[in-house]
Amino acid sequence: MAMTGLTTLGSSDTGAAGVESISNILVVILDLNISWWSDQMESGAIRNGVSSSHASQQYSLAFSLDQIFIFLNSYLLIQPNNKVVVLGCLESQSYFLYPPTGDASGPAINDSRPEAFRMVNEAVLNSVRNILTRELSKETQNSESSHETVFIGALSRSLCYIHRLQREAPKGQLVNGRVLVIETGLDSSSHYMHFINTIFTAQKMNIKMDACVLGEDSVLLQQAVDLTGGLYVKVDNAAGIAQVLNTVFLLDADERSKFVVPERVQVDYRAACFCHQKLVEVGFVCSVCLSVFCVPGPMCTTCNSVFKYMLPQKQKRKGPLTNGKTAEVSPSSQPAKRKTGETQRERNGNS
Amino acid sequence: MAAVDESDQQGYRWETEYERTWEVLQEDSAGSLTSSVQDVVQGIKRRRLLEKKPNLRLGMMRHLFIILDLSETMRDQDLKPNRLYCVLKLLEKFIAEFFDQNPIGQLGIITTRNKRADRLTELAGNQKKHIEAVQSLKTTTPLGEPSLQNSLDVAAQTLRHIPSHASREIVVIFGSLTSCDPGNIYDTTNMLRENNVRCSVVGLSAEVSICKTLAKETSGEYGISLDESHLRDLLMAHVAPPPIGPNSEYFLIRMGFPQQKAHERLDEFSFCLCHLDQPEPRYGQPGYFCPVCLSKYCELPVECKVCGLTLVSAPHLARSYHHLFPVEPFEEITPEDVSSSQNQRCFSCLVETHSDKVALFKCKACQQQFCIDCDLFIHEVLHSCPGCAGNPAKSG
Repeated sequence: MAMTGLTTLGSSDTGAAGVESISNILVVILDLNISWWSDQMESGAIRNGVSSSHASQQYSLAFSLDQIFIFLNSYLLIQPNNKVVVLGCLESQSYFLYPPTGDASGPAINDSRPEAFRMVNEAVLNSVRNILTRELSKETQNSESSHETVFIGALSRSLCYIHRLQREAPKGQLVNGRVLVIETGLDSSSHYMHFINTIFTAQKMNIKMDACVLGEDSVLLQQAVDLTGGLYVKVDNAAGIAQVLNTVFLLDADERSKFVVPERVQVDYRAACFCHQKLVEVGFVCSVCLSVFCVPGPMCTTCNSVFKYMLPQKQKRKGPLTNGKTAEVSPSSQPAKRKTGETQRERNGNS
Repeated sequence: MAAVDESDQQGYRWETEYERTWEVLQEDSAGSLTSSVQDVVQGIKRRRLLEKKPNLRLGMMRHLFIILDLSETMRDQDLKPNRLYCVLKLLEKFIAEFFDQNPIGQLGIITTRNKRADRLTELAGNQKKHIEAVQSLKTTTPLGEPSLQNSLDVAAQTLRHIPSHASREIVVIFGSLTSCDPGNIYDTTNMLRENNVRCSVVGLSAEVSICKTLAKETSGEYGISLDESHLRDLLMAHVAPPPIGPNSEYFLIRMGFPQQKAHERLDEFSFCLCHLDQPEPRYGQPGYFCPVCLSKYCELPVECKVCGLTLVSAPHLARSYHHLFPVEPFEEITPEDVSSSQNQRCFSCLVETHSDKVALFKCKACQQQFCIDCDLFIHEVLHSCPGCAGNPAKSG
């Protein structure tokens, strides 16, 4: 006790002053995209050359959920202060799966660990079942289903939740957050601004983002992982997800440096221009609203500012490499000279 | 001087009527003041949010000089442990916050003491350098009188050459009540106004006429800190980009979006230009290559030293968009409006709200309800509404 007292006095301006205990929170965002999971059940079995209904079960959501439970439970097991939060996202909606939001299953306080496992598993399973049945009944009405999932809503909600836990934590307790996104569907790029705001908030709160991608590679998640310093893993076989989760994502950021972890993915940070949605290496940016254009135009289409004149810096550099002053003057004086020369020549020709 | 004071709509605080601040607090039914105090605190927090004006043209490419008073008055102990330490601590936070919110902005620090002005750091986008410089000031002793004119001149020397599409700003942190100037300071203020330099002053002691004039002439802000938390608020108000000046011109700026090159390409011999001046330049590490001249840099954003192209990454630009498209303030729901059938949990943090105690706030766009803490968190840090973020109808 005396030691902790001394450290608090000694290092008053560092953030970690007087930390007595650390609790870790893992937020798992699970993509429940219906069309992907149903496709997966069919194609996964065919790809591996098995056609029996038993084998195709290996690629079902229920089977993967079981594997995710193994992961969640082992995470709870490795440290008593570990907590998990599970969010599900489906197309444009996000749901808290655990802790449960409904009034029916209020969290019963029970200290024995197996009970805690059961609580998490049952709550998640129940909520997933409810959501999917509700969604499937809706699906029959409008048969339009997409592979796109918007996980950004779930992401920002999880940040708010971690923020709340950090706020409510007793003095001396440090709350570390981490977010793991298990994504199946395709990216939806329509929310890029929300996405960037959320990622930078995570970066500021020192929350690492991990991504486990079951479907196509996700550019958004690659950026998120790179900006927050997490890990990105693409899993080809969803049936073996438990192994990946338990070997790669079980450990929190502090312990990761001691283990061999997957290499960082190279991320494409080129900007897409506002005019043609083309990725550009050199673009033109409006000084007022920072819109990116691939070709210079007379005015900004986003904020309607009329640009004064084009590329002042570039024109300056085109001048001869002499002193700054003469370089600025010469472009205006040269054309004038040429004109007089031309008129003289014309006169000569005429006479 | 008198003419300036008269023209002001609002006089000095001590000339206005006596405020009975304690009468705002009302005891609740249980005789406790806590809820009343809570209301006042919440009111103050939210007022800041509501004051923000959206859809102004903002000067996004900021060039800011901080002028720090290091005169003898900074040794005063009215801020704990003393003025200098308190200001330096807040300044570190300010710099971090500034670069977080304005990733393509640039900042420089000028100190003034003993009637002189010294350039502590040049205008640059590297956050670490500035913070280190500020930390190094902790060992210096504040001395003599400050010189407002000298330090403004030093700042103006650099700011004058910044292209006119960028915003030029000076924030003066001024503890002294006097200034020792070599010439007529009104010439300096006129020069600053003509050059579109926005000067704001944060005072630590009392109102000083010349600071007030300076801020007014250059359409900046002038604030006197009451205590440490007020000082922080005054300082942090300069984190958000200011509205663009009336005479500014709009330009298209050529920028490069370099790609980080993979490890395998680095078999080729390459070194970065940002660590050249250090005893051991960095070889063979991954970096960003300028798309025009292929020079390598360790970090973005940076201005290419070879071809002068501004190199940024797309997330840096996108990071600044929230200033232009802020989240609209949420509507407050009074306890009477909340019907018992509705979900009484905050949408994003699941905290259960008792309608009689904790106020709820509703997003106008997605109709979700949030608690006060999430409301503040969303507007001050997150800058995007969790309800709208998932909503396909209102994409950002």
